Amino acid sequence: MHPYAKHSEKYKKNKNKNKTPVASWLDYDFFAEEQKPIKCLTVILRTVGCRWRKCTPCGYWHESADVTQENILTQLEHSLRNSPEEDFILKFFTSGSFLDEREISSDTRKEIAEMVKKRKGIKKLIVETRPEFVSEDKVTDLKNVEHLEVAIGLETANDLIRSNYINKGFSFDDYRTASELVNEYGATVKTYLLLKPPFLSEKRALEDVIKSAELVAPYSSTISLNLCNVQKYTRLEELWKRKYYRPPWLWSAVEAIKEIKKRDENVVVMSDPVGAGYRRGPHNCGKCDFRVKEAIKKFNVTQNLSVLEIEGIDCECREVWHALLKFDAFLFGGDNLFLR
Amino acid sequence: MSKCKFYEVRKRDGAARIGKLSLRGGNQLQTPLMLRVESLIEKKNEEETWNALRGAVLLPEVHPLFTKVKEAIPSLRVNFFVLSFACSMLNSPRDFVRRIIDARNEIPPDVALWVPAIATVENAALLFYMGVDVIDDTNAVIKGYQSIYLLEEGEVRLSELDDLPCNCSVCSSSSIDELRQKDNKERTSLIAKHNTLVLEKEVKKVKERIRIGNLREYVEMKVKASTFLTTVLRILDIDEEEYFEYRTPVARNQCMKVNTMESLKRIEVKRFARRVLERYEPPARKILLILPCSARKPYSTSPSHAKFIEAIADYRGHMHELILTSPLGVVPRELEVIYPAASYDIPVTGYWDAEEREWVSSCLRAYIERNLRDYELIVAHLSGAYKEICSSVAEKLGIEVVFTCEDGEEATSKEALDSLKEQIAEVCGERKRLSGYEMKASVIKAMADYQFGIGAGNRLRGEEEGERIKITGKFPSYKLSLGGGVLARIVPAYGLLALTVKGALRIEDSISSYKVEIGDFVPKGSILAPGVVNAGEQIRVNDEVVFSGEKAFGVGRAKMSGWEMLESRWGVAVQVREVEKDESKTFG
Repeated sequence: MHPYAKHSEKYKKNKNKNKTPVASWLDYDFFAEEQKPIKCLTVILRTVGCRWRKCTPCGYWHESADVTQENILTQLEHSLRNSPEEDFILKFFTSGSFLDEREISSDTRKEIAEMVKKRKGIKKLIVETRPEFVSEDKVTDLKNVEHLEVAIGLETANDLIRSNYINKGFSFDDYRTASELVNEYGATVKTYLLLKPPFLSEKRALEDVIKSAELVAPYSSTISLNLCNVQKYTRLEELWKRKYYRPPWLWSAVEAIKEIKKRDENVVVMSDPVGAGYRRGPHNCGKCDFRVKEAIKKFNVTQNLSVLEIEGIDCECREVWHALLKFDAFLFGGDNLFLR
Repeated sequence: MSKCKFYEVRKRDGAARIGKLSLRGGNQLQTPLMLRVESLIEKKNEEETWNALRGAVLLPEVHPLFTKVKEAIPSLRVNFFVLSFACSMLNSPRDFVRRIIDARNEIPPDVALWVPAIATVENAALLFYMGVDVIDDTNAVIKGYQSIYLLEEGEVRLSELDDLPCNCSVCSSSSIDELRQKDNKERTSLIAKHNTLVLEKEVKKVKERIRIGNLREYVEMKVKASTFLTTVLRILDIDEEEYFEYRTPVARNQCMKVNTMESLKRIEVKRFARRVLERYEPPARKILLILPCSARKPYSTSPSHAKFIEAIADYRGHMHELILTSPLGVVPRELEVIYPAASYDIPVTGYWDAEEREWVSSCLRAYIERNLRDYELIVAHLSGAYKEICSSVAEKLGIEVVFTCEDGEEATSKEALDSLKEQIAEVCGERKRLSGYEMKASVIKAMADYQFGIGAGNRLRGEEEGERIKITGKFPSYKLSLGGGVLARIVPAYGLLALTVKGALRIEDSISSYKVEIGDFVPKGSILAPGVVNAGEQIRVNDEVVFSGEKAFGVGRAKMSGWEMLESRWGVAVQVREVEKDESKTFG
């Protein structure tokens, strides 16, 4: 048995987990419709998990279990106890696809929509899905939700990078078709882009994410930059352990956010710096990681580029990062060397 | 040719090479080469310089787009390959070994290998030793930006230094305090400059070592500063013996310095031990006399051996002398002129460590097991550790050995020598001196067998009816001749036997492994690789080879290994010493 599978087998045996979500937390998010930060409740529902499960960097599907639809509603109730008193955004993530029948049935979806409608405090519902599960029926299931956002993990607009290095299993055309459908139904699209897939140099990764943002902007109201981090029991982890991979520099994240925002002021640019400052997450030299991470978080809720101005967050290690971009043509993957 | 772009290896020292990258427009670059990344960027758009070379990228096996070079692009004609994701080599010493050795085995010998972004002053020599031709200063520059100051044997943060231990142009023109006071950007770029300069100096040093032919000694010294690099060298010696056997010269005009534990594992040491077993026949004598080695080489020229020889002089015709030594194991007297027996140096303290003992014991044991039936008696004139080794081997084999030194007695002491003389007289019975001719002839025979394989020696010195072979010259510069024509001579500087055309013709049938088949031409001076049609697989750099083609027959010195002659498109394969036009075939 593959070591990954072994790990998740062990995990599945714990039946109690089926009744609780993987995680849920309160945070702030930028509410694009009213152009202001508001509270946000994120719930990671435990489901049977992603049907694809083949993406190089992804280990989320290890959190899946033999969950029934009833379990899902229990999880939901459980997590909504943490609802804030004020208005808030509700994010339902499943470590897979919210629109996949196998994970969330049509009935469950309708029930969730009904619940969102009833609770006046919920201003917006955000769900995630792979594009192949986006269909008229499924979007219709959620028609009662006033502000619905469907998030799709495109990762990059470049089909070669997506298929070879991420192994995502769908094309840019699949994404476009799905997004157009979502937009037609009056919902918005949030597009996830991955900063630094494996086998791309720092510079190529940065260029790719900026270019991708340009190409997805017409379909997206929000672009969320995922700063690639190394999850356990993934193919990426193997590469990272053997020094074939280094997560992106936080400087690249700052640069990408600025460039994307500058090109299109209307698009909301977010980036949750998960694992920032750790070896497995996006990191700089170790001295400046915290302040750069905080600046990015501040930008997320304000969408104000001035918080990312270099003068406020600069560090000596920017020289190193800069050199890596400058020397890119002659590094041939050697930029992974400069771990800290 | 001048318009052509190509890479030609000019000089080899093991897997390391000095080569020439010829660029369009007559420009040349010499390897080992350190590229300056800053100037590469400046020149990136200049068609004439960098783009004039053709390169290809070697992807690691884990890369989704990985394809084997040979399968993917069989007719690929490039001047250099780049080893991508070289940083993964630093994951473990084993990865360091695998990535480079695999790359080198994958690509043709006459293309350069560039390992980008990882070179430091510490690892550069080892990289070149393994067969890398091109490095760059990326790592050095970026370390500079991190305020890391490179030393010849490692690195240190600038903040940890009290003084600048260097006299490169950067360090000699400013003091450490001045350096510290500069703003961040200026300071780090000065450290980067220093780093590049020391790396460049290291590359120059390596190049000189390759030219002289003693890079191995330098590498043994350099890796000592790093556990990682020492591990790499040990893995290379244990697991990559074949890779280096195919590349290590058979002889050189340099002393082999055996100063580290790793020296014991050198290809030259293993090769010598193997050939003593496989390519050596002892002369027919009834007593095996085992002697200790001497500091001066060849042993015969040392004061201690002069004493031994004098002690046994009257009975030397009965004796076969075998010298016990570290790290070569056993050296038969007849092979004392061969490289590396004639030129190695090892620190002598009287203390032998366990590994040395074990290795030398295994050599002695293998020799005795193989040749025991040729002798009536084994006499050992040994003391100290030598004696201990010999008696433990005798015990293991269950054989009797006559020891002529008492415990605690030096082998050169008067008592020991008298005892040797007495006991020899006793066991030998009648006196029998060794004639000068027989001694010389046995040396020539043994050397020919050692170089070309058993059989060659007897063919060379054997006299057919009516023939009268003469051996002249002072030890060890013997010259073998027949009817006024020279057949072979010993070249002491390299520890090799060199053949003449006449000698080569005489033993042609017994040296097929050392034959180079050439095309339809008469070579002058040298034979280039494209002119080689076939070449013996056992041929190594500096081997004595015989070449023949439709128009010529001759002898020369191999300048590349046999396999390399066949796989290369450029470069000198054989340095011709003597050639004879084959008129009969030309007009036949």
